[in-house]
Amino acid sequence: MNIRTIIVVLALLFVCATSCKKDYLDKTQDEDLTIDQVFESRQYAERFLTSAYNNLPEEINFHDWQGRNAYVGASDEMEMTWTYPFAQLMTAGSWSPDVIEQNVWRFNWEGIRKVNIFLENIDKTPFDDQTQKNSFIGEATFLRAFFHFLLLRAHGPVPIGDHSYASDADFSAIKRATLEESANFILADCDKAAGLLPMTLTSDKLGRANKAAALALKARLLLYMASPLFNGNPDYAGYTNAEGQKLFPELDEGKWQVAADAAKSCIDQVEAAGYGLFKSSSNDPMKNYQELFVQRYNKEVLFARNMGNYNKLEMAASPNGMGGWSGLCPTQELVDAYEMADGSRPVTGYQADGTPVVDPASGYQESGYAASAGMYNPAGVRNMYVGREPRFYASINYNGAVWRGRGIQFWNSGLDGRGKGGPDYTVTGYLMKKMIDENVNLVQNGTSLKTWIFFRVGEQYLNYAEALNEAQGPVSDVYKYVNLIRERSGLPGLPEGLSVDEMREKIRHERRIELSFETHRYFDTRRWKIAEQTDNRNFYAMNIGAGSSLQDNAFYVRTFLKKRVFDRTKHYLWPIPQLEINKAPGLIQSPGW
Amino acid sequence: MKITGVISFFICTGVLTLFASAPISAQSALDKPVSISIENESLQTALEKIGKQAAVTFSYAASETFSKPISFKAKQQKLRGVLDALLKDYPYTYLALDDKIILRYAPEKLERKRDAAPRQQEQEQQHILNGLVLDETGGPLPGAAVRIKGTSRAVVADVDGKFMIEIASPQEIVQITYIGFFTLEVAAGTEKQRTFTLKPDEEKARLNEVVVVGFGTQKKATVTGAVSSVSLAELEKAGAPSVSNALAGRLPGIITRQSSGEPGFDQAQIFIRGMGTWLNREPVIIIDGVPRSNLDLLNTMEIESFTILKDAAATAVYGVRGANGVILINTKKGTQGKPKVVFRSEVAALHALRLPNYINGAEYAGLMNEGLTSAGQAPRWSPSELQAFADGSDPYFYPNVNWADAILKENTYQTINNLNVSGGDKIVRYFANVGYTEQSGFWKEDPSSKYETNSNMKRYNFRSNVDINVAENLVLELGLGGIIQAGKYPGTSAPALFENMNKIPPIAFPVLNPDGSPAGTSGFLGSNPYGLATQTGYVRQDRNTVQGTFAAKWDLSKAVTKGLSLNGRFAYDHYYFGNQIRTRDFEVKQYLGIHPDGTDNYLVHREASTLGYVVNNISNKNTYYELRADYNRSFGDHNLSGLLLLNQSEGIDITAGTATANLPTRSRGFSGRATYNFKDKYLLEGNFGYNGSENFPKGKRFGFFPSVSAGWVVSGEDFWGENNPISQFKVRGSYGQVGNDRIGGRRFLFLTSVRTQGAESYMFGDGMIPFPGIDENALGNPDVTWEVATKSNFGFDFEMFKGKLTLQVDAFNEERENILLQRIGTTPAAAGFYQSIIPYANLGRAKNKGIDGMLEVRNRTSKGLYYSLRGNFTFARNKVVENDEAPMLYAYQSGKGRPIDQPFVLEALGLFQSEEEIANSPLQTFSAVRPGDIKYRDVNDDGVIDDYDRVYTGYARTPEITFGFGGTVSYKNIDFSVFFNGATRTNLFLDGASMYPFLNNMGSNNVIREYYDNRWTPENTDAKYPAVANGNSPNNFRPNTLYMKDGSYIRLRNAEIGFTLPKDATGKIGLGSLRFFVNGLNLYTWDKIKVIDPESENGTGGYPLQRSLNFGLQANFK
Repeated sequence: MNIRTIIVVLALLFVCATSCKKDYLDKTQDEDLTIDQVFESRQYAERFLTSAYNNLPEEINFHDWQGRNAYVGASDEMEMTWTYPFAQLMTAGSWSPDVIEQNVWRFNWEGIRKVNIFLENIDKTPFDDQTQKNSFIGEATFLRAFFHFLLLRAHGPVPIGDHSYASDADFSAIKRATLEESANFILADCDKAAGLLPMTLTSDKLGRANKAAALALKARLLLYMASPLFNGNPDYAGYTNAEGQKLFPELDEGKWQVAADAAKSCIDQVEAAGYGLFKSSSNDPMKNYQELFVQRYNKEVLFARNMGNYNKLEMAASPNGMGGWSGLCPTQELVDAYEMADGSRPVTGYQADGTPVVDPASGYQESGYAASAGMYNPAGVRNMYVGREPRFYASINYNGAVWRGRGIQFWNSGLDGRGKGGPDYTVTGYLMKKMIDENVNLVQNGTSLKTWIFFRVGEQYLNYAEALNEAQGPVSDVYKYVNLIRERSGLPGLPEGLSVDEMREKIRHERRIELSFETHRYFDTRRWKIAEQTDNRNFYAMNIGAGSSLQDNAFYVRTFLKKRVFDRTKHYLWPIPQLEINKAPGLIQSPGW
Repeated sequence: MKITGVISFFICTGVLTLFASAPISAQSALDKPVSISIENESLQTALEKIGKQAAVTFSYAASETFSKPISFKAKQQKLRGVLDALLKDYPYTYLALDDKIILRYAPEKLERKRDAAPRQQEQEQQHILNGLVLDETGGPLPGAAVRIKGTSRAVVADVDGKFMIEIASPQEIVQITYIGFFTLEVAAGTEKQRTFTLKPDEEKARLNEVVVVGFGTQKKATVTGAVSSVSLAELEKAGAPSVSNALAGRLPGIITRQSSGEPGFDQAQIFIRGMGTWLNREPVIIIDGVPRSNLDLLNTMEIESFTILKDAAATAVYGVRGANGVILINTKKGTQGKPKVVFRSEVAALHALRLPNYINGAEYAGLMNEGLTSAGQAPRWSPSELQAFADGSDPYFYPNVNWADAILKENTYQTINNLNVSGGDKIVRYFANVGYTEQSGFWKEDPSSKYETNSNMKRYNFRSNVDINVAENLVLELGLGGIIQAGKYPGTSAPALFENMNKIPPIAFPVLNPDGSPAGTSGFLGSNPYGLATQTGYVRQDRNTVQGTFAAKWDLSKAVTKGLSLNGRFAYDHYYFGNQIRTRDFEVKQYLGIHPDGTDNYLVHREASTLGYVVNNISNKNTYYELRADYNRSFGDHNLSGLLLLNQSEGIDITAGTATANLPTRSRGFSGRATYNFKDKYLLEGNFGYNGSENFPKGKRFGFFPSVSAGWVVSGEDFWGENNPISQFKVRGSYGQVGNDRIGGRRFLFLTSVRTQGAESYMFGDGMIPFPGIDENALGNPDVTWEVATKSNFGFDFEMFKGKLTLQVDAFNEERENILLQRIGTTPAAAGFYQSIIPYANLGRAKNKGIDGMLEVRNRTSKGLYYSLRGNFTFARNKVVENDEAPMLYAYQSGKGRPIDQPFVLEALGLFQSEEEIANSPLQTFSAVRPGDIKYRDVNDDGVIDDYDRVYTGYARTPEITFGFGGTVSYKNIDFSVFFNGATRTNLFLDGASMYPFLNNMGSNNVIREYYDNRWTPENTDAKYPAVANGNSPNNFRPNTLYMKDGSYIRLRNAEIGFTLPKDATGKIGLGSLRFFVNGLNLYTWDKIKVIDPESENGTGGYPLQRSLNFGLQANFK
């Protein structure tokens, strides 16, 4: 080993150590895109918009995983089996700005940022096809309106997210607009989107926003804005922002007509384009209603969220003895609300101890068992479940109902009962049947392509009827559209000669049944300001802790389930999470919180 | 005598040359046959010819007689004979040393012929001494310096400790020196074969002891930074497969917590001096000079030194990433000497500590009734049913299962084996180790299963370190490590199995159906813990590592200036992690009784699936380059050293999921150190690191991190006095800055980017075709730069009674500024940013201060009894100063000013005893309360108990104080040692599923006895835990101080008895030494929790820690 070799060795080491260029620590930029580069390409711009669709809430997650849908379980139509959903804290009155599902506030703003970036940049993108560009702008505009609406329905007046923020922006500028400003911003986006979007979509585009969605959103928002919660609500008259500006509007009875017009306009336009009430090929009244929620993109669906191959709703709502989780339990109160097949009401009220006031004229019986099978019920089931309206059989799984090939056993020792342990069993003695695809084989972990319907024609009928009744009284169009809904499900039309108030009660009842589990009940009871009556009381259920057979009377004893809490001073609107107000003090807290 | 001196010189040169050349196996050159024929040529020529033929060289001092022409003939005669004949008439004798033949001037040779008798004495007086240098145990001391006092004659002992030196007279003094031993001086005498035994000089050895510091070593006595190291013998006593498990309480300044004993996942968390920040808190681990993270893949037997660097002075040279402290590990190297073979083997019986203790079926059913009746509801179970749960008369319909017994066994085994060989000579030194470690788990297996499901970890360690002196001034170092770790686990992970045990009540279903399949019902579908443990397939995990290090050290003392050397280092590491997941769903079958035809009636709730096959890999490669110059020199009393270093590293994630993640992770640094001391008394040191990080933009990319430190060896002053009982006293201090650029995960913090891969997507069309999306990936911050820790340290080293007692204490303070944080705390959701894209900025500040120290007493009595006592202590307390938290509605809920990770919970005042008490207390809003429920403090006095009454209270899970103490006694062949460690100022929450009965509805969770025996009932009002409710009890199940436990503990961490076979006995069986030992780990724990291990995570415990009883032997072969 001579000195030359040594020098070579060390020189090699040195070269290795210093061979790098000056930009050793620089990253090659071509790996990442910038926003500017995205919007230089039509394809990439479209992909940016696609990701915004992902922010559409997965309301199909009833068990409100990450706050996607706390509303069904928090309304008087359903009790969740499990104790962890946020809805349980809501119904216990244990929620607060500090104990809150943060994502309800967060998710929509994330979607709004995406569409704002899209709208701010799309003019840089070269398009050969102007129609396509308009369509994309229309979709983004609709999504922005929809995300704002989702915030408004829960929180009332919200900030207006009309632009994207830089990461070092002055966030103290984020403030609640007035309710009127918030709504007008959404309405303007709806109008703009409706002007840019096609009414119908080819099958490869289903799931995208269309003109029907924009019209339906507009009609629903205007209905909300005309409703007592948002229209001259005396409780909120003193609710102002830091500058003393009132955030809720004065009473304007004219809003009902505006809402009626918007709904009618929506109905007329969508029906002209081929949308309409869905009926099954058999025109069986029960199937007409049941299949509406299983056959995806039938003619009634105006806008829906695509879920892909999915079975979580099936899992959550199916009996535990059939591979499900028995998690979505309709309340006894909802079960009682379904009419008899002849349109009469079986239960007209409750005693203080929860005992139902039964109208004997309806033919409804609390006791005894069916000697023979009815049109939709098997023999041997409790008389409570006999002779009810078809929508009951399409929406509710009850003890003894035949489902997935066998009679359901909800009694204590039954295959679908509470058993000897485990968190998964119906707590009311019922499970949700509506929207569930019976053919999905849960034991084999099967799935089906699933959608969640945001807007459908039937809702618009009821929106129109309600607004029109308030604006003009029970005129013929009110009867017409409510009766169309009833007729589809095999129910007789409403009796003639109803007063405005009687008609209002009928329409509200119709919405409760027709739109059950579709998230409407929570917001309806609030915008009508009736939640204190519907939600602040004791709830009862079948006695799931008892029973050893289908005809064991012990099971059918109405049993105290829980006392739900609703505080009218604050629970009509959601609070904004306190942490968010700490960060942006311009977001003053919702009334009462 | 003059001539003799010359000769000696030549002989010495010859010996030295011998050592400097490649060793040739000892064969007698003198037996080689040679032929020679010369005519009138010089003796010199004759020797040259012979030398060529016999491949030997002659060494001699030529005199004029050599050039006298001679004639000589020999044919195929042995060299010995030829030389005898050739030199017959010359005054020279010869001496063969391998291939060297030394001609020794011997005038007496010719004289003796004339007058043999009188010269005999002189011959005896002048001789070659064949010496052997040994230590007290009889081991050779290669490299010992032998010198004849007052002369220039000096040699160095060879690999066997042997040397030869010319003795001119018996009165000459032979002086033998060896580092760490007393210098031996004896008269040469006349004996030609002598053995010299050196006695160890422990005090001197200690003074000269070096410690490993960043990029080098320093004499311990002159270190000014905060550095601690641990003896590897200490770590070996733990008998633990992971190095981090052996560290608990062993060093001052290190805080560890081990929360799981699962094979392959039993690593302890390590914090150096606690936590300086609440984000990345991990220390940097440097193995053989290269940043390498996988500390726990090493075997203790491979490790030479384990050092932690604590303050800015010690870590500044790592500038980048030094902020959390540095752990330096060097693996063993060969030393000069004969091959030393060491074999160590140990086998341990492992016993699971503190498995969950669940209540039985009858108790559980009774608890359900209690919950229901207290809520005014009908009881769930009749007395006859309760009886059935209790007597087991109907095990399929009234089961009573202890899930812990059903799936866990109490005992398993572990073995650790290492065989290594080391040795070398002046040219090549080597160390090679092969290790095999196996640890088995506690899961029971199903006899019918086709595959093994119990967890198991096997690890093979290979390591070889070779140092080669390529030339006198150039040393090459080649290190290779290969580690293969193969883990095998049940298809369901240990945390999931414990979670399910905590959830499944003892009465939900039996373990097995009558046909032997896992039992089940619709409830807890597929959650039978036995099914999950034994029938869900298996997971194999491979962790393969190759570590290669190549280094060269070029001593430029001769070429440039004394004390200067150049070093280069290159390392290449490859790491592979492979996960082969072969899991399945087992069939869930409910036994319904017997069909009328007599067959068993089953209801299938879920069909089985076949074993899946999913493989995922993580693989990365890392390269590291370093070039440095060291300078180390003394000028009289002035001692100087310097270091300049350039390094850069590159890591590539080969299996990265995105092109961006696949980009190399790079860093580059320049650092240096200068030390100066005067008489080893006044010490001064400066360090700096100048580092660049890819995370920061140009202009902000490089950070400069300087530190200074100083020390004063007070005991070195004259006034201290030679005989002061305090033999050493040094005070030292340091101040400086170190940096951090690691945030874990996100890279290139200054860049804004949009992602195509991994972006949110959507499905369009009736067939719901997936459409890829593009969304924002990260928002950059053009101003982002280094996180800086400013550290100061003050300490002293203290020794009494010549080192029999040593004490080292350090106090430290650290201020972490510009902590890299995402601006999540102040960016409102309404701005619409996904949290993941919010930019990082230098926002945070934290403080950390504390004290650590160690005390050691050791002594060897004149009668051979050795004893030592060691203790160490670490206290570190931190505080969040700024964390980007927006102003809170109630200031007391702010995390600022609180210790990192301090619990934020409700303060429990106790349990309500009566309705009256409830009525007179603030309204608790979580749920309706009854007697037996938890009563909380109304912190803000607003008359309502809600989440605004949560406060920061108690201690974080990482203890503020850890300590360890123990001792060793050895006498003759027996040694005994014990070691305790402990921690305090830490809290643990004993909460979660099995402490929260019926959290998810009646009958939804398992219940541990701790709750059951201590719950409130009307009869037991002085209770620890609230009454049982008939379902979820939001009031009682909120995080609160009722479940907060003092996590302090003291553990008898290990004890060991060793027996070394007497020397003569081992000699007979051909061994150098043989020691047997028995040791135990985690032998006993004193704590306040009792129910679960005090080092556990919050909850009710996971995979248990183990008590091990370990038998082993260590054999050193000759």
